[in-house]
Amino acid sequence: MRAPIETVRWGQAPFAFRLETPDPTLAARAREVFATWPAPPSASCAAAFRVDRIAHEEPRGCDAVARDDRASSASGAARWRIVAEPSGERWDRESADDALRCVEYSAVQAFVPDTSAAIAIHGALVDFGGRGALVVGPQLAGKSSLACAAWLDGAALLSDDVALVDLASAEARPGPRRVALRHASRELLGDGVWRRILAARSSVATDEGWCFHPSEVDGRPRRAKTTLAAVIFLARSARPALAPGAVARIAPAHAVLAWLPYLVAAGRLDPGDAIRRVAPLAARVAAWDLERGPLPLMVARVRKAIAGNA
Amino acid sequence: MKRFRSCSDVDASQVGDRLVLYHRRTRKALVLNPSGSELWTRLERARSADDLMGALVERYPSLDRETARRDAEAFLAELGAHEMLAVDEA
Repeated sequence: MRAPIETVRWGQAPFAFRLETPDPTLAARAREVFATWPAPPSASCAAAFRVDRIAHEEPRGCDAVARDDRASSASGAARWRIVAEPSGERWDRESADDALRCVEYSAVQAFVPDTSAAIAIHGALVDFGGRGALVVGPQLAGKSSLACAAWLDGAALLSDDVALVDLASAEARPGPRRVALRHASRELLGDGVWRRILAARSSVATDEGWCFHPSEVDGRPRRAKTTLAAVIFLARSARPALAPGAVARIAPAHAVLAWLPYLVAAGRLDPGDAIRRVAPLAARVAAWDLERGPLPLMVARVRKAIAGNA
Repeated sequence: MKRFRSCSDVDASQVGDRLVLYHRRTRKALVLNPSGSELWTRLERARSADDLMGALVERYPSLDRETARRDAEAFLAELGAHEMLAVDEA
């Protein structure tokens, strides 16, 4: 008898995603991981994924993935095949948790670029009592470090990777992906927080560190969205010379161009169209260059920036 | 006398008091300062460097004509370098 197909839905307004699998263990784990992002009731499905367990092709006893793989251990060794619909794109993963991470990642990539309502931007999103800051910058610019430092300082860490910003209201929602931190963040967060990350229900080890839901670690309730009050650029190539930890306001027109490389759909959107869409948002939300410096000073600058008086 | 118009391949987006220009063919973007943004709107019709100099003096009465001429010529040279102008040779 064929196993019944279980469906798990999740999303972030205005997008929803769907996972289908005949494996009850994977479905249960998916519900646990995606519970943070309930599917918006009226959203259409932006991407769907079918996940199946397939025959293991490696020699028995080969422990290729030495990591905390709770779902896989519960259901026995297996390989997992993910097929995206309707594109037919497919990936094979060694474990159930790897398969879910693959789905998580691919769903965010599927954020539809041609919606006129919202735009997805790569960056870390932190919330200070309903006012949000989006930290953007190139790889290794220190986005995660700054976001973690803000988290330790009492901000809600909503996302370290992608935010979905409503173009009309400037409301920002975290991309539906767990926060992923490298092992190097342990020193910044301290052993106590790091241990709570490792113990949290949805946490899973990655090649570089751990991914997790911050709300499971700090136990604080989260807003589903925050009003974007500042965009903080780290290591912007055209920034003026600044002292460590200093900030400088970026003229909105220049901010438009600074945003473009960080749009999730940057490669698919016509730049002229992207400029037109981002322009009202850049006029509304203040953008700042922030020079790298002591993290407590940088966090203080972010707090002032979202208050509008950096 | 040379007269200049904005190139039809260029889209202009107003952001605050500045314009962001985007050239659809070269895929290059340029941000104009507030006075450059005002001059750009005048280039919907063919204008000479003298016309732009006059516009600057009218907008900034304390500006001397020589400085205004240099600014107008520098503005046109910058736009020309980005292929954002069409030129009519009289």
